[in-house]
Amino acid sequence: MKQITIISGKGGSGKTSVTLALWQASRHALAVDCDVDASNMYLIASPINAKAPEKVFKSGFIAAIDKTKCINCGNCLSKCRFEAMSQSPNGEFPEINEILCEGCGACFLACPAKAITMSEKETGKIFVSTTRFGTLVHARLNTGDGSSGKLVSQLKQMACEIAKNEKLDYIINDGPPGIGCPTIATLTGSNAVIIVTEPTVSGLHDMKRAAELCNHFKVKYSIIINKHDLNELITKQIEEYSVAQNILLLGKIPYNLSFVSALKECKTIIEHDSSSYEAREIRTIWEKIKAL
Amino acid sequence: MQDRALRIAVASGKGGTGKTTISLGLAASCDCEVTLIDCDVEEPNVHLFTLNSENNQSNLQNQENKCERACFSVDIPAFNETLCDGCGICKSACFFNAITIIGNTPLFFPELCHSCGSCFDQCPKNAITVVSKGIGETRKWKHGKINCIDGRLNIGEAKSPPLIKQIKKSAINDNLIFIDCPPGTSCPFVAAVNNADYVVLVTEPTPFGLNDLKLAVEALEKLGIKFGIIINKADSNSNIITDYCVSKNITVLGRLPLSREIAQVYSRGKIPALEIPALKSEYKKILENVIKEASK
Repeated sequence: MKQITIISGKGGSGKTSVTLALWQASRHALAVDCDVDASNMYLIASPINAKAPEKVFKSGFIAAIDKTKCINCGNCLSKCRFEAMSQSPNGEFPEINEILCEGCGACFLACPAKAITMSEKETGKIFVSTTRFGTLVHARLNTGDGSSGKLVSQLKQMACEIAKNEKLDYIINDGPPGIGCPTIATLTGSNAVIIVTEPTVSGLHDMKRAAELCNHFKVKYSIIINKHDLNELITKQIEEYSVAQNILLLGKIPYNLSFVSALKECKTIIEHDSSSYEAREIRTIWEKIKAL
Repeated sequence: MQDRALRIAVASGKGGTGKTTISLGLAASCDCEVTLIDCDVEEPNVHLFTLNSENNQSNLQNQENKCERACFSVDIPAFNETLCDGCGICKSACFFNAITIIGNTPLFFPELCHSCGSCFDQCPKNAITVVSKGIGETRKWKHGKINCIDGRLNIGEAKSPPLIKQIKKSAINDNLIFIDCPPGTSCPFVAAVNNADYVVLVTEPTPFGLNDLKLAVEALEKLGIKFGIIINKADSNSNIITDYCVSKNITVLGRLPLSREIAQVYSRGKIPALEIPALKSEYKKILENVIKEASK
């Protein structure tokens, strides 16, 4: 079983549209939406039914204050390094901002009156869904919550077990934008990474940082240039970069509003028009990925 | 205007909706000096539009070297093994499981550490000292009337919020501050929008745009920050965002068109609001709306 991971560095370069189309082209793969704080794959894959009951994801802690026990000594206020504690407007006791609270327990440890309790925090939900393309493992992180990396790791672990049971050859991970904690968790354990980039100064810059991240974690990557005709000069720079770094360029997809139309119809680019140039290019790219 | 600076964050939920383009456009449309803080420290892009005028990589490198730069580090513990008796109080004080005790010796996992300071405080033997671990850098430069600030997270570093909080603290003399936020709705987003007076949510009329907009709205409602919406890449036959805004009684600050020309100007590292005449007045209008709404 191989894990193929799609990232981009820059948001909006077309990761999810490309991932969905590749997933359809694969015919027999499991997909994981690792962009847990803004997951989108399910919107197009539209789950037919839940394959497993949804699972609550708990991670970390949150502080709460018992006002009847608080002696208003202010210790907690001075210990919090996350700006999560503030004096109540009437100055009677400290208040905790649940979104800013990191769950570190510094206030809990500093409280002489034992007025602060730490409780485990529910930070998201995990779903395993049946879709027309196969099984989709996805999640929803509660808005504003952290621990997205841990949630991604858990999704990927579940996906591996399911793929083993169903004897699937491929898991396709759709990664989040950026190069921080959830992206690192997405990369971990991948057999091949594909960076979807676009020929814009931002796209090129962000692709290079994503590429450095792959090098840092010693994962092999290849590149897809999306919207390649938007700026042929930068497309050429990306091509030169791939030659210089000895990286496989899997394919180039033109800037075409059919991607937007497909999205609006909640279809993949292949479903939108299976004989289009873009649809053929996606199928070709999938064949190259299989040969990696 | 208020006695302190007006802080306007530009955020989106979904990546690639046009946050950076719009932050730059709004900042460039101001007549006064303004500050623009690029809080997308994982993939900062503002410098690409404000440091190199000719899209010339070597030129960019030269310009980058002229920035005022500073390393940024976070506090992590270092253990003095002669003072440590392996009591394990630090281990139980750490809610992130970043410390374990093997035999009588603490073992520390820096990638799990949130720099909360509990282990330093709780150690009864004073065996833990605070040491700095570099996680990125902060930079400052000037582009016309825009005072730019950004942060760059080191490659392989997982946690961006401490760096985001740091660049937002930079000394700023301007009355108007724009904050270009990272995508998503989790901790980096929260760190970027926190303490803003107003948030401009940039969205696009696609199912992805709408879905992620709803998530961002939910997060801002939880945080209690006022916001309005710019519909970017708008076309005539897409009312999904407008319908949503009407149903939720959310202010639409303006609309910007879906256009290949804008995408091409952006691709070259140019600010569409300055390059495309028809956009100039649009941006002026949107800026007026933003300031009016934010000052309410």
